[in-house]
Amino acid sequence: MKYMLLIFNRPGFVEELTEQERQELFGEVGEIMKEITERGELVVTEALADPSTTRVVRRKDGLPAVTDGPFVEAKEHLAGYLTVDCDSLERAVEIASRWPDVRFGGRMEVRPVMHHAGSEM
Amino acid sequence: MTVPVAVEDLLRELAPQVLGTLVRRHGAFDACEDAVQEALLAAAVQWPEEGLPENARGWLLTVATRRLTDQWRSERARRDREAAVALREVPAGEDGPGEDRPGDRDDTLTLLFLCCHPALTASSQVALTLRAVGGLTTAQIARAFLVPEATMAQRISRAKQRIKSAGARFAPPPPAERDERLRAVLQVLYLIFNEGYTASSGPDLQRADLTAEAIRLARAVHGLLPGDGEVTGLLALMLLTDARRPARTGADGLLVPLSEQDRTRWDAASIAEGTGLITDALTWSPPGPYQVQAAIAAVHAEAARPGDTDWPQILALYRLLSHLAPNPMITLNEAVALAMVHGPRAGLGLLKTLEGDERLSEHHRLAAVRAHLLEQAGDTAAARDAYREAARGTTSLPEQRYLEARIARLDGEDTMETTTRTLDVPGASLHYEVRGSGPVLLLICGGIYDAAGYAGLAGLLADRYTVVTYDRRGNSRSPLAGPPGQQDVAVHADDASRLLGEVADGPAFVFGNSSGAQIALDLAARHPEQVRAVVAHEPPLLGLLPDADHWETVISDVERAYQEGGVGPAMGVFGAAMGMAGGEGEAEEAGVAHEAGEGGRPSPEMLEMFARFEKNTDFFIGYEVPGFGRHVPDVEALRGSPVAITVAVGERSAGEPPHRAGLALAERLGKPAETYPGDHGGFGAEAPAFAAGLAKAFVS
Repeated sequence: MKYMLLIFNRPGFVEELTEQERQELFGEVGEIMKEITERGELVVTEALADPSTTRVVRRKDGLPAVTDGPFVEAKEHLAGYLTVDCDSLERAVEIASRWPDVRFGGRMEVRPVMHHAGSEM
Repeated sequence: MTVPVAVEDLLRELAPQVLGTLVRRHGAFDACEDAVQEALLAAAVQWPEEGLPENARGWLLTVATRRLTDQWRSERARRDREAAVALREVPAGEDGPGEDRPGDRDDTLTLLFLCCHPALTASSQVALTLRAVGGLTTAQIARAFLVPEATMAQRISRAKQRIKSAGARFAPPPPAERDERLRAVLQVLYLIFNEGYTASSGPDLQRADLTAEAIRLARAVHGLLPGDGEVTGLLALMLLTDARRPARTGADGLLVPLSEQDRTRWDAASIAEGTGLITDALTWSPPGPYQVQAAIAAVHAEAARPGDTDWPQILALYRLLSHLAPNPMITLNEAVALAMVHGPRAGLGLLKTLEGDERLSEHHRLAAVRAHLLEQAGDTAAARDAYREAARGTTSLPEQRYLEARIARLDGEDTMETTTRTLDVPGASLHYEVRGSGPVLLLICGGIYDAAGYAGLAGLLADRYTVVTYDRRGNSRSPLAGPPGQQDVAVHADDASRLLGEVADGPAFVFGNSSGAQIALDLAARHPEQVRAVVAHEPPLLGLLPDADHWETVISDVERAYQEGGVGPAMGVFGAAMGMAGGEGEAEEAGVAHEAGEGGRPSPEMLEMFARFEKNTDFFIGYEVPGFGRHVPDVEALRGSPVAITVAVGERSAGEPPHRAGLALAERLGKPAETYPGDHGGFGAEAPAFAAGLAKAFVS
């Protein structure tokens, strides 16, 4: 069963950490990544660039219009995600619970990924 | 890389044999498994180009052994062992193709036990089994499970490490553990099968190969253990399920439920083989869960049409299965079978026991079954809610599409077009409405009601019938040509007959409530050629009651009160005499509660309807009550009539005059009255269950 773990945090919060806290944070992420890689659970992971680099597409006057990303400082943004393939929702939640951003005021969302298998009902 | 099918089949057949031999000789399952995998890859490249070696098995064994040696050679710490292995290297000619090697067969089973070791997670058991026993490459397995190859490689390598650290040896499990370990093997094979079977739609078609692989492995285990009933049962179950694969998706890729599948597309050969296997196994083996599931699949398979399905037999089998292996998923299926045998309400009752059941991990399945049963019960609104819950809860795109399609279908029934027309009859003009398609069903309303008051019931039946409703003469939108006069049941029956003549080509089904039931009965007595069957719900044939004299007095009192004081006093006299809890007025309100929907606020159309009912009250009490109240049915004609006549009474109206009159008529007709949901106005307040009852009555 695949789950996507979405990482939400406050933009720039890493800059405010002490060097030691930063080392800890990256160390913990590295540890989790190593574990889920070795267990054959990691499908894909990406970190996203700063929200100020965003392009937003909206419909305007019947056409898609592009604007540059939010200049107002967002309180929270989608910082990255990882997709894992594991045996249970509990395991996916366990991985999310250990993600260090949570300790620094961020949050994780665990969402099941839709699949194409189906049984006739 | 494309490998000819023949080569690939041969490689996969030989893979477990070569691995078994290698592990027996050298131990170290993990290293041997890697070596065999490399030998298989080498063969897949070389054989198609250079042709099959004379001794394919020996070739693989040699190459694998060399790889094993290379692997060890590269590890300095294992120098000593390297020498030993090199000495034992097998010459290619040692294993002749015709040689009998009973060890190979046992090796395959031992390998399966090892790959399905309890120290592993289910997904690791599956991956390792497919590679070590199935001979699939890591890339193939990764593709089948839609993960990167690196992920799958890690999973397999970790699984092998765990087996090693669990101290598992390449030997059959001890006798005390054997049954449990075999169950684990069968579970893994069934898991592989289902991965493939459920994927056999949409863009994942390649995964469907897994069903073939699972069947191949189950066949191999069955060949090794022909005397095990559960192994036989699993193979039969796979064959019988896989037989339905061509019919399980429609041309649009949408999932097709079992009851709607084109059964001519089922694979007859698989069905024959599966049915043969399970029929035989059940004669000599104590029943186990796979055998019972196979037996259920076989009962489904033997029905040429869904209607031929032996549901009592399936229900009995699910009960046995619940007993053998209690599990909420089985209870779900049992509820479906129960509904087919004893009606949707019985099935819904069983589902209630599952609510809050922690073991039911996929709650959307409960919602989906509940939706299905509610739809069967005619409770469209609740069915729609349950379908929505299921559609939101599923993580399967095809299932979600299917569930959304069911919702759309229910919505479509709601907004089904209603055709409104007028028919001129002697002395009046009738407003009537037509909905749906199928045989004609005429609904005749009673009292102050009109066609709009039957919209709910009509909508629920329009998927099966061409439902015709109308405003009776003098009421609502069916004005009389002249001033109102005393009404006669025979004239109203003539109106109904003319209406049927207009809308129906042959005999029709007729339902009537209250005074509408009197009209329906009179229509059947006078025009039996126009009527197939009648359900007459609580006809107030007061003259049939033991206290008929009292009722004659009541009617005279009503007439006098109307002449002297008009509608108000007359309704007062009538209401007091009838003393009905669920009288016309209250039945209306119950109907509103059901139909008003969210917020319980009546729509403008409904308010208009009530205004019409109010107007009709004058005509009802002044001109209908006397004639209908004194009406005597032609019991002789009804008794000898070819028309199937059912007298219906309310579940909650016992003791009320129309209910008692219904029972009195039923007695005279020599056929017990049927009990319908609700009271005198049950057709409105209990419309879904009422519709289900009518549909059932008209089928039988």
